[in-house]
Amino acid sequence: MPIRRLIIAILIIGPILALLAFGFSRDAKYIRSPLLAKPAAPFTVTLFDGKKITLEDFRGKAVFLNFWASWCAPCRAEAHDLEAAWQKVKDRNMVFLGVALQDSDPASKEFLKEFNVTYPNGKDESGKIAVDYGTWGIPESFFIDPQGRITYKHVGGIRASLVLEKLEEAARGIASAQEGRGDYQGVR
Amino acid sequence: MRVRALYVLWVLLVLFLKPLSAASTPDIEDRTREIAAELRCVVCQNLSVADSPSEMAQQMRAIVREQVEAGRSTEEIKAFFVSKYGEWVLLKPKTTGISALLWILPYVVLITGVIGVLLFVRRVAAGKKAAVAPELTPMPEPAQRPIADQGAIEIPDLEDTTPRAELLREDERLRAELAELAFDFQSGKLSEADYRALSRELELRRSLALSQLAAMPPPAAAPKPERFNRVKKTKTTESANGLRRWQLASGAAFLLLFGIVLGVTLTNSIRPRAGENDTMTGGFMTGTGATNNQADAALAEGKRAFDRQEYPKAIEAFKKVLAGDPGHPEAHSYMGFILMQAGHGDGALMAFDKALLRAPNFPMALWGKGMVLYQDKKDFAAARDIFERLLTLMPPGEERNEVAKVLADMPASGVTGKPNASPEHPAAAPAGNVIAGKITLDDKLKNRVDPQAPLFIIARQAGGAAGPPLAVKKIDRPVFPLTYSLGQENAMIQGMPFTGKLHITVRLDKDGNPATRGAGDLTGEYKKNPVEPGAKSIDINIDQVAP
Amino acid sequence: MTAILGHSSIVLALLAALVGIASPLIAARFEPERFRTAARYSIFGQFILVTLAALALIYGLVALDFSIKYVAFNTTRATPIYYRVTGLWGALEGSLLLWEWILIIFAGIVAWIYRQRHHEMMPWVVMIFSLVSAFFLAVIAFLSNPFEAIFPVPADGRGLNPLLEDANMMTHPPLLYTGFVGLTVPYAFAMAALIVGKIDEAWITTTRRWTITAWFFLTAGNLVGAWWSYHVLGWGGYWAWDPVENAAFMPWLPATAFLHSVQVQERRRMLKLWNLSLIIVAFSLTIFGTFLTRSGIISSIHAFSSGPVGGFFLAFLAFILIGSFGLLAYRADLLKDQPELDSVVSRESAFLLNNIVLVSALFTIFLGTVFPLISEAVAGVQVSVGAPYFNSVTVPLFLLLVFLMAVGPIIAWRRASWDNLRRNFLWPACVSLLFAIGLFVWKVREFLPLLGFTLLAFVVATMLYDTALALRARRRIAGEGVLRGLVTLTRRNQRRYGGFVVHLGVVLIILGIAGSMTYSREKDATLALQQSLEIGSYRVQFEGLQGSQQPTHFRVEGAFRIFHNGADQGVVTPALKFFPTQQSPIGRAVHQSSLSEDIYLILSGFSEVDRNQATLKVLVRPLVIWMWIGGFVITLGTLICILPMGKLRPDC
Repeated sequence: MPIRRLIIAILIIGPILALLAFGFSRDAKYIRSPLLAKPAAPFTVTLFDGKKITLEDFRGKAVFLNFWASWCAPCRAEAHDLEAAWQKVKDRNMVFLGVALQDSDPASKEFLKEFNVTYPNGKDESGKIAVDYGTWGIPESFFIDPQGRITYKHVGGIRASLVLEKLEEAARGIASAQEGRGDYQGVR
Repeated sequence: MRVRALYVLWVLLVLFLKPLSAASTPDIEDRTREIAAELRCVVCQNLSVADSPSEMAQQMRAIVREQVEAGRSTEEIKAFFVSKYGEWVLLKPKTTGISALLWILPYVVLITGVIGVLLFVRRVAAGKKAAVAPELTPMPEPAQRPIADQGAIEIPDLEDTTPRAELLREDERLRAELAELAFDFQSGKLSEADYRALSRELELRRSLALSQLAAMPPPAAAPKPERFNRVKKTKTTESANGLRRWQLASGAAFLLLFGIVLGVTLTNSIRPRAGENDTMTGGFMTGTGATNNQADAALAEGKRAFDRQEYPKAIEAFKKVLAGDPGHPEAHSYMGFILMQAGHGDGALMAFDKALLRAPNFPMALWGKGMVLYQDKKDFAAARDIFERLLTLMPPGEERNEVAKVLADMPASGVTGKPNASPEHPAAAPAGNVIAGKITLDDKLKNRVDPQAPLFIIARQAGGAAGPPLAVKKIDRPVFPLTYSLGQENAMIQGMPFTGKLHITVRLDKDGNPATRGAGDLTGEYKKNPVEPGAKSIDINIDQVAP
Repeated sequence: MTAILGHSSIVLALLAALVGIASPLIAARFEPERFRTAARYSIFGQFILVTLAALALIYGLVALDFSIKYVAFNTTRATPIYYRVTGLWGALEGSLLLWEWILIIFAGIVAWIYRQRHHEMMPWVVMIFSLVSAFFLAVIAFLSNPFEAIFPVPADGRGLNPLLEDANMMTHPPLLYTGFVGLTVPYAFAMAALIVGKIDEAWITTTRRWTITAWFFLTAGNLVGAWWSYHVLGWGGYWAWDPVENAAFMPWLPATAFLHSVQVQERRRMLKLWNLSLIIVAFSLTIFGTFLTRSGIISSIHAFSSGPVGGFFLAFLAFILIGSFGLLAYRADLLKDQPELDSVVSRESAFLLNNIVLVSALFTIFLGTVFPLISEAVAGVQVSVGAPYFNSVTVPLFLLLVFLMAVGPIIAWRRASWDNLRRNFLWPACVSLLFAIGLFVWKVREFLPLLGFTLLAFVVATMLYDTALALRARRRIAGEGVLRGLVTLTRRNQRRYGGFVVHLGVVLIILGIAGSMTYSREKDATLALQQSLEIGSYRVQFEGLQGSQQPTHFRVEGAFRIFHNGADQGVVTPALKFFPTQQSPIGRAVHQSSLSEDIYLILSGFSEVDRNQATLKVLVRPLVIWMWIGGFVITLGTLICILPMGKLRPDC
């Protein structure tokens, strides 16, 4: 009889403990995105040099979309990598676009100058683009295939090699199964 | 049973009669707020978009408002956010899928519990009625004993668990209950009939307990106090000897342990904690290891990985060190070298600067920075400055020779002197081995002066406006016009004679570091360079801004 | 030196704790008296050593000994002294030391008070204390050591988290921790009783005051937390159903249930198993609470930075749960009740229902808190369970509880006949109905709030009616007036009248919650100078911005003049604090309270360009002040329950 009660108790306690132990295996603050393999939301962005571009303009090309801000340390860490990656692919049918979030124009321009960024960068005025892409941490990078579908999302700093790899996949329309993770910081 | 039905009806009433109000007013603001209150702010911890002060939440609120104005329904707006952020963004989980459990289970548990309790009580009550009834009838006489009869009833000690004590306690409880009942009756909370019925029952119980008590053997009462006394006495007699002995023993053991523990922790913490120029652990360039065990291990691991050229692993390890101590000079220096290997000159420079921020004379960082400036940036002048400085810090040895060799190999930068630096006006009167003069600040630069910037007066070997300085003098908070003199004592490298043709420049340096020339520094140079020591009236006007 | 002293004290205390665990076990085998005393002395030894360590850390904090990593990370030269002291519990390592300190103080007091009594149980009580203490000491000594050194010694520290710079930092954590730790006392006695095999009322009667005290501190700790949230955090609410808030609230539920069901055990000698289980669950929930806060498995605003300690806490929790229930199962034969219940309509029944409701509430809150884990583990979906969910599911539970609060203390023991019910409840019910009609006519048209307020009135009415009847009886019997009568009644029956006062306090708190949850209004607007915002009967006028430099931050204050029904109520200054280490500013909201409602102002933003513009959010929250008043009433009630008042009748 006492054994029976003990077994009942363990049957109740066991799963609870197992559940809590499971909690250790994942990051509670990380939000997984439902956007993989979905069409990328259209937007219009005003570049720092005054031009206006929309996502539609890039239909037919693979797009690398990067959300950043000048006050974000991981963005600084990846800036060189991005520029290097851009240099490698700029003659191909691929586009790089950077969008600055929650940032001031002078600071953003300073950032671009400091890292000699040559690909087009613009500003997300109202925060709508950020929400359209489910941004919660920066930097965030999206890879969009020529048909306008998001093939890969990477939250946090990204290495040049991964950029190039995922761009190749995007160009061929291959969507990744899982998103990627790097060093990130929360948005404000 | 009626009351049970009442209870269950009550529960159902509460649960399923939802409020008639909560009408969503057509006001846009209110609707926005309502919807925002059900969305989770993605930045904060556990606040709704409506409550959160963060910028992201403000942007999300604006989007919600826009969609409300466009006429979309609450469900549609929530679905929009779910499509972007996932179900996680809803503060109130959906009622479908696994979240249905969340909504159903609480009510299931509650209703099951309530019904279960009521059934249980009913069953026990019914069982008791069946059991008690026959027993009560054959005992009318003892029931007549009124309450007041009981004189001094002993209340047993709490720890006493003999059956006798149990009965005494039971009796006490029943007495208390009877008294309570009496008071309730007097307050008018009980009708006469109820009172009589209940008190009769209690009386019966009491008499049952008392008769059981009477039937028990009394001897348990007598030895009780004695036993306690006896226990106490033996304790005290024993304690005189026994207590002392084992207490002494345990006290001694305790002190021994304390000493050991103290010794161990003491020696642990007094590992070499000298300044960075100590060579007790590691070479000169690397400095001492930290006494922090975790960072120690990570640092050592990083160094090992670096030596094996496993750079990603090394970076991991150094990052760990920096996580614990964000200004750690050695970790930064190593990171700088790794970055240099990877070709990130700027990053490397930043890392070395960070190391130097904490420890301005950290040799490894100086060496690294010098190398970056030399090889990557090709800024020979600055590299030279740094190597010079490094040389002054290093003790004679193989490493020093290496640095000196690099310095010697460095090509002198192109410029061989200013076109108008003619030797026709050497400094007059070699009286004393100093160069003296006055420094003035040009009017048009008056507004650009940074009051915190120190003034550096720099003398270089003639033959270059670039090149390592021979002598530098620093003047804090200069007030212009300023009289100065530069002599042997200001020589950068000890023993280097303050002679020869010298090129004099001055600079108001914002970052206070004579080796670096930053943008915005105000400079000036003597128009008639070169001069020779002993010259007076070497007046310089600060009239340029470094680009 | 301080660090070495502190660290070695902790290690030694750990050794003493191990001795404390071993001694009763050895004594059980070998019988000598000295091993039993050794157990007690080990507690005293631990007490001295842990106090030494805590004082060492406090000294290090106050003296700004930056060679200690904990001090360097939690203070700066500019930190005022009181925040240096509160730095003791500002971060993970120190908070564990505080927990251990309070634990060992409780253990020491228990060991001292009962040194001559409960000879059989005390060594085991001490052993359980030493067990828990040993765990915490081991974690402090080896895993998260507050005395860790840092090299090179920084010139200045990093400073306390700016959100923690508030006066409440001095009261909220210590109160809450005392509540948590206090539950260890009844737990230790329960386990000792199980080990020794004396599962009767001895352990309950002994720990009754301790349990009430712990319960009181839990209540106070949670209320002060709510106050802090309301007063300081500046989002206008007092309870966000944050996972850590839930974890602090969850032990309160079984503790309350326990306080009620022990009365049934005392009178009817049943529910022994249930009560033991309740106390085990309550204690385990306190460990679960610390685990949740320090493990990082659920994201929360309160969470300490997650370290390796999480896993060890989980292991300890498993040990406690399995060990305690194992012991319970082992002694199951001693726990056979002789259940004695007469009727469904009785106070016993009401107490049982009270327990069911409280346990259901516990289950609900626990489910909601860990549900993100369940959802992810089972379905792979990330969900979040927030305030709207908890608010909606707990309402029926708490309404039921209020109803039981009205019925329970008044309904008769054993059996309540219809006549009895009528005599006790008819008048209060009528009064409550009249009250309901009055409310409906006045303003309150929605069903749930109306029901809630009516039930609250019912509680008050039944209590007052019962007291009135009792006073009348006293006058008839002994000719006592109202005041004397009250005193006599309370002295004769401390628990009952103390309980009444506590229930009254709870009623007030629920009143505050109901009012503010149902009838709050809010409005936000961007105002230019001299512009106003109108909300309800208030008008708020913007009068200007002002910036000033404080020791640790830069502060921008907005001056707003409040008009209530046209009358000038003065100027309040909500502020935004800019800390050098924080990205976004931290708001400091202000509020004006009155008995009927609070007006709450939050400065959301201001234009940096144009100093004459500010964005303001105004909340009007009715009845909030009654929550805090209720807290004081609960304090009074608890004191009435516990303080010895010269027994007129031996019933306490």
